[in-house]
Amino acid sequence: MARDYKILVPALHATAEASINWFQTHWGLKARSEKIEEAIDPDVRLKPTFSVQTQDHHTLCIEVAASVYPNYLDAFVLSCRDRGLPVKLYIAIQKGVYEAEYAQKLKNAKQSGVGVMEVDDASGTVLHNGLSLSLTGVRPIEIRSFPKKYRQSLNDAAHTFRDGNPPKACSMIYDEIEASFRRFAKKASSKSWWPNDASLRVATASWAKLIADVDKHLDRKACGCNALTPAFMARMLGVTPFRNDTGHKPANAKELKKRDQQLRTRFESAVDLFHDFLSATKRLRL
Amino acid sequence: MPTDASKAKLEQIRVDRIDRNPENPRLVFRPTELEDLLESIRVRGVQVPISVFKEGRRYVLIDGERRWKCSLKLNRETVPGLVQPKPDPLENLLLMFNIHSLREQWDLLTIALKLPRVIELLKRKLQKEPTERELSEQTGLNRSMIRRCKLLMEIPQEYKDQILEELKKPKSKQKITEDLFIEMERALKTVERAMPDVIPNKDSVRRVLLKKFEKGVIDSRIHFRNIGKIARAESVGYDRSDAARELQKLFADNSYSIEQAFLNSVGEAYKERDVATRVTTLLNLLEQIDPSELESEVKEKLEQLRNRLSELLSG
Repeated sequence: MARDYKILVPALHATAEASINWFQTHWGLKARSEKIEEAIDPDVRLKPTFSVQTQDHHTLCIEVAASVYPNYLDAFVLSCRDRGLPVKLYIAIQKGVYEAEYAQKLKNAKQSGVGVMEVDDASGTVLHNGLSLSLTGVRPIEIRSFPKKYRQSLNDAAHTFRDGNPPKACSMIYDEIEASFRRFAKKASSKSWWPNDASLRVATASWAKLIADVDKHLDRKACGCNALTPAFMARMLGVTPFRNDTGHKPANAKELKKRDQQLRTRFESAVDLFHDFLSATKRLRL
Repeated sequence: MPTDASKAKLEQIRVDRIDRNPENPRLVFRPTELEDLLESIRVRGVQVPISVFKEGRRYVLIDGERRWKCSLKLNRETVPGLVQPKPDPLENLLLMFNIHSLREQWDLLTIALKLPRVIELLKRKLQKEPTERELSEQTGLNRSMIRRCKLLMEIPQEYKDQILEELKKPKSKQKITEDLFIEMERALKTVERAMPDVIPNKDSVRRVLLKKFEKGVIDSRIHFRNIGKIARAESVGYDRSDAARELQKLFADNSYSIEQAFLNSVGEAYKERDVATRVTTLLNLLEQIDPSELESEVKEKLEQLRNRLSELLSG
């Protein structure tokens, strides 16, 4: 039976039904948390056509529209972003809708982290996935300020973040930092800037232990890396507890909101840390 | 109308206490237009108050369904509204008609669908069938619009449904429109009056003409006017039975267009009548001119005309 829409124009009811049914089938949504044209937060000034709590504690919102990315959605996206709400927004449009600025609007939606799907009576196609809006404000990486060899992996991490997997994106940046730090430690050991008295195996020793030991015994003057101050090393040591923490699943929406806020900060500061480390060790060409 | 708008009070009304008016003739809300209004209200708020009347603890809309829907969508708590005294059923409808005849016009079909209800209520009040003038006075619609609505009221339901579907599209993309049906119905009425035997089954003729329009055999709805001209063949001295044969051919399932039927029958006769009318007008004008005041440019044109006339008359 079709849902009762008070606001949505009748011309779009079929699109709404088809898109909701698609998500129910493909995402296994819980029918009891389903809301039609209700506010998701008293302070957010838009009632999406449909909203529901997903299995991973996000609020999935479907906005059924006649155009790919109507202007009024910008305010909704900003509102969710400012409040750190873990909302995934999808715009559902009818298949075959033609509009003059289709490609540009599709691009705008993607840049804002808004998913777009096309539906008809028989099928649904997700053109791109929605990102948790609490994460969409993430600062873009200034890719040109990194050495060329790292740009590809940084781009991948940024895309992974935007495509909706921020734990994985953070993990990718940490991988790069760790790998380059181990390369640094290996070089420092071979050049005797770091004596490695504890006989740590550079490739396999705990990263935290390695940082602590390098920090303690590194001859900074000899290696010409004065910027690797104890404060900087402490900063690097500070990220190691999160190294394997990013994949843990939050138990509820509140935890998810908190986690998303943390992941955004972690991602940005990990990128900064990586940048600063590469700058500090620039002459070693890691 | 008895309802006095001066008694209306401006209030901030809670959006969730408002209900749509079940009598609202407006059935079609085009999504793109609504999206534009939504953005405008988001940025500037509701600048023009809606109109409502009170029904118990709730309010019923008289005017402003789109503004109300947008306010609901934007999760706004209140909307400015003029609260009017509760009207009776006829006043309720007439209020909506009058508000809209002075502002943005509804789609014609939606008015046509509601007009029988207005006529019925007016008939009860006046104890007689309302005249076109009375209808016009009461609804605020002009008489030409009422006549157009009446044409739409008469078309079969399946076509009304087809138009309603089409109305959901942006105006620029609508093809099977109210205007198309109005032109077609007018033409068929003329044929029915002048040559009733040519249309044994009006519905099958409609079907054929629509098919031809959709296929592009008839490429403009204005061409339907020429059907009426063919039916009035006798008025331009053309043989009635020849014209009837052309119409029968046109109303058959083939690729024969209105323009072909027109040119193959009365086209020339109408052209000649047109010439005769214009010549009469020209002669009247020429009689008022003093030959001594003729400009050389006009003289030149008149000489061109004389030469052409000599050619035509000698031929």
